[in-house]
Amino acid sequence: MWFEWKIDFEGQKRAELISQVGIILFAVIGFVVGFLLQNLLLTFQIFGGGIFITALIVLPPWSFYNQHPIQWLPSVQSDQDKHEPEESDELKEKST
Amino acid sequence: MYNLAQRANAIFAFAMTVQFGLLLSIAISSLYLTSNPIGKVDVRELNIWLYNYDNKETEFAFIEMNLDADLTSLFNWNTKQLFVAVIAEYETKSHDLNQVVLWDSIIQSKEDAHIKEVKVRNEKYDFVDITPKFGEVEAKYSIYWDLMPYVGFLVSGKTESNQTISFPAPDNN
Repeated sequence: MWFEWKIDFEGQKRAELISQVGIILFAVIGFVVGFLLQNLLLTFQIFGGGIFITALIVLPPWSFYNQHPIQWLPSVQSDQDKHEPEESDELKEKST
Repeated sequence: MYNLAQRANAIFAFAMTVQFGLLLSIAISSLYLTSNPIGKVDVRELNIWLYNYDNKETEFAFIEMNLDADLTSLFNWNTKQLFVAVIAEYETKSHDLNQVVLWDSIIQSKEDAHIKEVKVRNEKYDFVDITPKFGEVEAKYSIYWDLMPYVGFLVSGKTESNQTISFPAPDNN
């Protein structure tokens, strides 16, 4: 799927840290600025804007979230792969 | 955090949690904001008239007063509006505490929080006792206010008044 926007494991760790620090930071900034300027609307504008900015940083699969791709082991040819899949009992029963 | 949907969900859920904490801190911190509301009720006239109410001869009090209150300090960042009422309080033999609302007002901005009203009469509300007669009472007049916040707890208070006025005898018989 082209729109899945997958990131690797290290990237997930980084994305989680950035989102949590970002949202808490904007909440604290919003509270302090709103309190100092005595403007409650400003607090929630800063908080809402902060969520939007955090989403812009965290949601797209930026390249710094894909610096550690998983190194898979080379594929091994096993005996089972060569076996032809047998018909299951259920199918046999239905056909009779 | 693996794909877009999971990251969007995680951010939204965490943002809602943080928002609840933000609302809670606003609600609790607002309780510690200090205010200094002052107000004075100056009673100019108090007359009592007898009318027939529910087949009983009942004393209706008519008051004229000047109000001077400065409630601007109650307007902080978390104040939506104020409900202000002038309340007469008195004690009778049968009831320890009687409170009668004489006038009220809703204040929605800091600019309107400086109340200066002259010759206010209790036109909106009847000033009657729970029994037909007031008798020998002395009433105290105070300005009560309720602060309605955007977020948090309703806060109430009053500006104390020391002026007490004895009720006069009824004017008509």
